[in-house]
Amino acid sequence: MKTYLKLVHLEIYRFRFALLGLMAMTSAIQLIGMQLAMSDRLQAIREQMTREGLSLAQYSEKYHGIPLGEIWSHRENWMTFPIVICIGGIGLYIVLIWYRDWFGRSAFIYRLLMLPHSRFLLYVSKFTALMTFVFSLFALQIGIVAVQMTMYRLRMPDELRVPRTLVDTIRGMDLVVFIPVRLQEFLLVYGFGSVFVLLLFTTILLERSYRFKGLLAGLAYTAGTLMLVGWMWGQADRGMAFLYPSELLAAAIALMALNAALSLWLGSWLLRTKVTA
Amino acid sequence: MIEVSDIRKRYRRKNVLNGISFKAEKGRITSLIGLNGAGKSTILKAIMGLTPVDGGSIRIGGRPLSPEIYHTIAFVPDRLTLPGSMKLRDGLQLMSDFYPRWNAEKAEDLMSFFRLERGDRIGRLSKGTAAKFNLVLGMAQDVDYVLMDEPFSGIDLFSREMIAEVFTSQLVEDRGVLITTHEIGDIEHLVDRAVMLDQGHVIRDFDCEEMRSDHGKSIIDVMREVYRT
Repeated sequence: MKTYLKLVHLEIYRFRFALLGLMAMTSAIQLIGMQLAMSDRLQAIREQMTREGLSLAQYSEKYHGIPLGEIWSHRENWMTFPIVICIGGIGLYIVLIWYRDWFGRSAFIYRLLMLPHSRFLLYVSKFTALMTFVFSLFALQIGIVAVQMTMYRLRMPDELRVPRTLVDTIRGMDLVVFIPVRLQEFLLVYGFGSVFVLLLFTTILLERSYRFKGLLAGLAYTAGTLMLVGWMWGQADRGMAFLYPSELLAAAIALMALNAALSLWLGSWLLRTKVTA
Repeated sequence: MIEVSDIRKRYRRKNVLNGISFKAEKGRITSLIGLNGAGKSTILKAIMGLTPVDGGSIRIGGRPLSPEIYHTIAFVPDRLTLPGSMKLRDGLQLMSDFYPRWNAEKAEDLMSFFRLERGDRIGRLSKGTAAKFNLVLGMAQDVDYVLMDEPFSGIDLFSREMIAEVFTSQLVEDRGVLITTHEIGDIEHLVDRAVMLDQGHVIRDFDCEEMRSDHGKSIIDVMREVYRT
């Protein structure tokens, strides 16, 4: 356990600057975006009030309040762009977290494979580190929305403010794909995301063991699994199958769980017996 | 004892190792000698479990390869094995964290002997300094066997002398050392056993002292006989 935690610490330590960079970029763009979106919206309201000769109270009565989610109407890219960059960055690092140990002047993989501990710990520590990065960004995103709520409270006139909870605000901002607010959604999105990481890990280790043939086998395995699950999901979504949607969804979850177990076993076996430094 | 028995490996449609067998005993220095491509480095990597073999067996102290074996054996490869972004002090800390048999006192002595600066970044070390640091990482472990892959390759005369000095020190006593080198002249007088390889085969395996006393030949004399014919 101690070795596992030390390995996780090592992996997090090696990605710390990139992670902090992603966090800083996300915070800066989303908070500046919020400021600009608020200014745009308030300016538009002021102009409309002047044009129509309305007071704040009359405007509020005529057009109702403006919830935080609606502020973003013209500047939603400021919210989604950093999220896309973070997903891309973490996605790229799923591959780099292995390959960076093989290539370059230093062959750190020699040292890692020669540790007097089970090699499976390398596998799970890299996976844990990636999940830690994902959930750090996830937590940051919730924090940013909370700060944006405060900014909204401070700048939006009382007459136009629509008080909402954090969960409703996230729903209103179309962020539920990235920040699922229901436990079931959370488990589905991040559970499937975790299995995807394991499939990529398996592909990488197959490539490191059997080179080009391994890469082809790994890609076929990953693509096959994703297509099958995607098809089942699609059938469930459209209600076009012999099984009930809930049954199809359960089958897709079972398939992913089976693939996760297979990936873990295969990854462990490849690291133990086949991988070449 | 490290026992390598009939190991075979094929890589890119070529037989790299063709049934290699030899033994490296504790308390003795064994040298794997051969021209480029003879399979020397592959053998060391196979012993350390860094590359799989297609057949044969490797036993260390009578036991097959397993993670526990790494408590008894250290490898000094011909390249750096720690991230270039780390400082030397971070590298030493990493070794201390993960290797239960890491001897910090020994590491300090070696760092002083090689005049290495703990604040230097690993990625910026010259080839000679990197070789010295690699040696610190390998020799500061209290293990029974040390494998070294070309520790003298491409480094200056004075660094070579410093590294060769390590072989005459207490750091090597009682340990089994298995070394590959092109610069056999630097350590010829220290080598106890020579295993000569050619195209993945063992072509000569002899006790150096016996060769000197019985036949009046040095390792280099035997190399001339073997590789020039």
